[in-house]
Amino acid sequence: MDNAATRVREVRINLFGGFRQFHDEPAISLEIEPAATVATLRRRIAELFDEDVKARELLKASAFATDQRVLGEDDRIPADQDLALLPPVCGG
Amino acid sequence: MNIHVDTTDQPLDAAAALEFCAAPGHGAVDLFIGRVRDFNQGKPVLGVSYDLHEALCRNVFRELAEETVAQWGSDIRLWLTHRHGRLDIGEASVIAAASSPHRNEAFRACRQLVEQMKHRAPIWKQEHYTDGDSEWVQGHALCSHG
Repeated sequence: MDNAATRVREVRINLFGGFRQFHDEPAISLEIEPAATVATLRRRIAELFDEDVKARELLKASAFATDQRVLGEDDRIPADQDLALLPPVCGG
Repeated sequence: MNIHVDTTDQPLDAAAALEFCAAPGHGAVDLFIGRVRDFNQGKPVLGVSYDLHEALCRNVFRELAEETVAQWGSDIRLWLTHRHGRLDIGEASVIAAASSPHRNEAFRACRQLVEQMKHRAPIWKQEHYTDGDSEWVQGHALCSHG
C-alpha cells in the first residue's frame, strides 16, 4: 500500500543555540514515518550524535517545537512544517 | 492594543517603550533594561551573541504578556523587546516595561514578564571571553520528558 498514511516523509529540524556547535549545517533533515512522535525523532537524532557525548547530553535537555508551540514527547510530528530543536534557554 | 512584543537585530529603544507605556490614567511605569556585562562566572567577557527563534519567540512573548495582563489587570500596558546578534559590553539585550494606574501592578507585571521571558522564551546566548574562547551559557530546559 502506498498512500499518504504510510509514506515516509522528510522533516527538517532547525538547530539553535549550543546545538549549532555540533553540526556543520543549520538544520538536520531526516526521513520519518507518518506516525512518528517527538520521542521517535529524539531517538533518531541521538543516533546521529552517537559518538558525541556532549551533543547527546544536550539533546536530552532540549525540546522540539514548531513556530507556534513547544511539543510534548508523545506529540505526532506535524506535517509540512519545519521543527526546531531548542536547548535550555537563557534570554536577557 | 496594550501589548507590544518584538525581536530585532537593531539597538533597542527605551524611549519608545516609555512612550508606548504612557496613558493619562497611568500613574506608574516600570522600565527594565537588561545589558551585557563584562564579567560572568569568574571570566572577563568581551561581548555576547544572542540567538533566538524569531517566530516562536514572538509567540511566546505574546503569551507571556497575555498571562501578565490576566494576572495584573486588563488596563496595564506592556512592552517586551529582545535583541539578537552580537552585542558589546553595555548594550541593551532586552527591554521590558509595564504601566498601570498604581505602582504595585507596574512593578510586579514588569518583573513577571522578565522572569518568565528568561525561563520560557527560545533565546540563547554565547559569551565571548578576553582569552579568545566562547561558550554557550547554560539555561532553563523547556522540556520535562524523562
